[in-house]
Amino acid sequence: MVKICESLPCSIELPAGAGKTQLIAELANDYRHREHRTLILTHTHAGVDALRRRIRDLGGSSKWTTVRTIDGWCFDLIKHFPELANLEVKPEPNWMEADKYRLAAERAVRTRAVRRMLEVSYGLIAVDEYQDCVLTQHRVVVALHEVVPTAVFGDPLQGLFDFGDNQPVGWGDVLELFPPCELPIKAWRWVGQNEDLGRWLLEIRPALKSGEAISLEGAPVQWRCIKDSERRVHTQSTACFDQPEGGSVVALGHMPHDCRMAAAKLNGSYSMMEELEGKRMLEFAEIVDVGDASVVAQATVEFACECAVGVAESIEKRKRKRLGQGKSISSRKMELSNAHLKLSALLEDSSPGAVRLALRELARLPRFLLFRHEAWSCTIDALTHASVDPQLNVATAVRRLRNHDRVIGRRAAKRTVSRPLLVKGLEYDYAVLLDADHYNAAELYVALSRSCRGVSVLSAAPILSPA
Amino acid sequence: MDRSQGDNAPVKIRSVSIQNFRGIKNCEWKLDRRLACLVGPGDSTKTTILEAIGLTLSRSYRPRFGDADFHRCNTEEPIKIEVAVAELPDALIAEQSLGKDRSGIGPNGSFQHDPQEGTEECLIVRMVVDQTLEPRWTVVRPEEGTDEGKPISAAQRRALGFFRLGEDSDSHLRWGRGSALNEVSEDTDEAGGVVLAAHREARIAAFDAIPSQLQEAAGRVQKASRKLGAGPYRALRPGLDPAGSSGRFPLLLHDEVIPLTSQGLGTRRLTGIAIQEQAVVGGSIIAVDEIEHGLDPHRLCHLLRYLKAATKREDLQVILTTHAPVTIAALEAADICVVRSEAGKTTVAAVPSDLDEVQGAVRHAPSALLGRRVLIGEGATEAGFIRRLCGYGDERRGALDEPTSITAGVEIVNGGGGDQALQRAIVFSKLGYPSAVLVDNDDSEIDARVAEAENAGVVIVRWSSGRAIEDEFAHSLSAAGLREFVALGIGNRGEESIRAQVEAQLGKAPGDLEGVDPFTWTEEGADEEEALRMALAAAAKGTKAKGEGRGEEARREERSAWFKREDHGERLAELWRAHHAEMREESALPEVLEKIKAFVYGG
Repeated sequence: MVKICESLPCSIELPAGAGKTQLIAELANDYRHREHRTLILTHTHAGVDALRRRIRDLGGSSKWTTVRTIDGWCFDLIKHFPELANLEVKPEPNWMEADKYRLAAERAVRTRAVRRMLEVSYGLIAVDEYQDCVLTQHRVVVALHEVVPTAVFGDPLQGLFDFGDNQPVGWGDVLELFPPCELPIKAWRWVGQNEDLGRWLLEIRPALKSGEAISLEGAPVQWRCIKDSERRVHTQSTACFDQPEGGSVVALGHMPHDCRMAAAKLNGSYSMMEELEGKRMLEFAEIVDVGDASVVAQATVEFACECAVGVAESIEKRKRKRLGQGKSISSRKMELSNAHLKLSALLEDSSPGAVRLALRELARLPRFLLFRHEAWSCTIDALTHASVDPQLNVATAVRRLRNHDRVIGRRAAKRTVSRPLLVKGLEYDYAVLLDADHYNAAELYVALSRSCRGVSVLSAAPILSPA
Repeated sequence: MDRSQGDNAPVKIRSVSIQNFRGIKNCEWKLDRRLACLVGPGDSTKTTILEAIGLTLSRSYRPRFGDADFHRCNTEEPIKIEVAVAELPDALIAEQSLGKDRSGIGPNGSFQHDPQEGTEECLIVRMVVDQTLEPRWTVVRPEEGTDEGKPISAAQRRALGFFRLGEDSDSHLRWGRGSALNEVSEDTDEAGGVVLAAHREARIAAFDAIPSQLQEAAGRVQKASRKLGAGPYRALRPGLDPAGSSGRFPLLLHDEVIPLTSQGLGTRRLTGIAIQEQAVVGGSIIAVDEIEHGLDPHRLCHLLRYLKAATKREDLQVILTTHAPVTIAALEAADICVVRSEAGKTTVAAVPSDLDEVQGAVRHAPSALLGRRVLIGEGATEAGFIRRLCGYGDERRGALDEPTSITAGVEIVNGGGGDQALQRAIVFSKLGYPSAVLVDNDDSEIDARVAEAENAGVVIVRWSSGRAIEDEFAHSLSAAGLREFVALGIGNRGEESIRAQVEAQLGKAPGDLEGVDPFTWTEEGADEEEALRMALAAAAKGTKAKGEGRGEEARREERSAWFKREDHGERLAELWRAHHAEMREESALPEVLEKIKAFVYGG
């Protein structure tokens, strides 16, 4: 701790589970005792949550530490100072513009008024998960470090991206401005849980960094063979069902589609994690906003099919297509007729309120089992908001709700289907790697290091050669 | 809020905007000074401005409002007060506080949404009271909707360090938050007697039981009070208020055993200011209503000097109101703001700081700023002349119960010479005072300034062309009047010098003239009399005779003129009163007097 304080600005490279969150929390605590406030910036809201919790556990409070996502902090700043930022923004952020926001925030940070605010507000800025910074975020942090002593924390082996054009910052560039501060490393996450696993994860880092294959022979992981065959999905769900009761489990797929397939097979016992932008919800919301009745009707039932088991079998594909053609559907089965009626009613009235009623009716279908809780409840809430406020369209309501989640953080389900990208920084008791052959080195390391008690790896052979 | 923490100057108010509050329908005031003295005639809503600022920057959680606080008691229109404060304390600039709610004030005083380079950072604090009578405080940004804004808490408002010193200065003499004591009734019933006896015991015990911090505070106050001239306290210390035992704040400052509440009003007010100053190290804003209240002139001057020095050091901002010429005379012109209220619209005009001529005007006639209309005589002669005339007018009108020049709020000012008199008139006119000026007509160099004054709305009163007041008198008076005119001159300057001046004007040898009757100084005849009157006028003005001066131009010399003091002017007015019935026909005096009368009494 003293070493960090003395070498500011600096960077601290810490592997997963080596106590990074704890270290940042303790650092903030140390500053609090010296009556300095700390600004902690990270990337995900899950990260924000974890840091806040850890700080609270140490007896800290929001009076002394502010924990925000970099982008959330940037947007908040430029929203208040459009002239300093030279960018006018709407009250709700549109994260497609995040790059613009960051550059604007960089401009604002370089003004006298904001510098003064930062100077009187903080004695330390700590940036977590620095390997996830894109270049524009890096620029903001560079501007910040000119005003307030700054420490950046990260692990270049956990840099995961799917942001298209956005370039992640090169770790070499980071080291130039933030000289490395070497600390002794211990695999804290696994202490008292699965210390072998913790040690093994430290051992494989050099191989992963240099792009070599790693062997699972003798490794403290449970390996299952999985082939490209029809039994593939079956093997995956068996592995998931086999996980011990009483602990949290994350099942990690590779592509969003795989995850949905897997989640659907798991009969609602696992809930699927959505990416923060909420693409699928937005897509549906925009259809409702356009308001083409037959399109809305079909999209409503298709959306339900994607969120829950038990819908597709009750309202067959043929009927869903009929709706799309603007023709009403019906069923003679008592337990199905109400859902049919409500869906047909959408052909007359496809307002958000009516869509909401239809979805709720679908939820009463027999064998209805939700596996995309997040997508479902967010959509229901957005439809409710839009139905009571005629000024509000559904897509805006979805964005607002997602932003709200961004700010307050979401509660993870006990059993989750997700992807390495979405669970960075999260911790579970057990992890199942559904498709370990397709990961790159960073994805593989992130996936393997999520759980502290046990890991199951599904791959074609007990040798993993990251892409 | 320790000042040593930063080199920032303390908070100051930069603008005030008031809507629908008491007598004010609307008021916009921008100020850029640490000392602002509000002056203006009664009912100009000066005190309301202080009240508005006080409520908006109030550290109180819940000041009480009533329907009467709304303009014309119309609760439909909410009270809305916005006070922009600059030089913000670090505590408010922090991101967790109001750091992201700062706006900017540009060099021209206009608001900018953001505190950009070249602007002054400020917070715009808004207080709104609607029909519910519940005040709401927010910090707003310029150009935002009416309902926007971030709440500002009482604790955050406290960081602005605003103090109001009004009639209730005694509340500052006790340990506690301004709450009045529950007064123990002096009933002689048994219970009351027991309480009283117990209380007396407690008072004695309390002196010994005071924690050292309180005692130290009292010591600091004693020192600060001495600086302000509050009085030579022997030993200030905390003690139980003899007037009350059940209040929440029974601790009161005592000088030895005497509670400070027994001191005179002036002493209490001065001590109150001293305490507040001590309380807000790190700077603050003090508002004082009627600063002269309870203070004798020398104490007032001392206090003003003290406050002015504190504002010069940027330790404080002081906003005060006054009705006392002494206050104005003790301040600089630029410290003064003229408040006027017309049909609910209140204007606050700062006396321009770059106008030296005003400085002179204010110093010479501080009361002018306290009146409603300003009448400027070109010099001392004219001022005295007008003053005496108004005296006559007031006597007559007073007897008839008609408004006098005093009730009309007319202030008579010595202009200090032709061009300067006009400049002062222009300044007063621009400050909103209806102004008139009486100037000579014998100097064409001031014609341009006369035109400028007329454009500025000044009522110009001039003698007939080519004449000054002395000319007018010398040419208009009857023979008897003229003799008195000369006698007055002799009374002011002595026989010898008057005769010498007239000899020079008439081209006679020194010693040619004798006696004091001017009609013996020339031959009889109309032409001769005309020449005599011209000579007397020239002599009275102090004009150098031809050949005496350096150039061809006739030059007037102040020190040889006959009537250059206000009392001389008054004598001329008396002369006019005694002889006005027998004035020669060519006189312009009646017309000039008519114009002055119209300005003073209207119509």
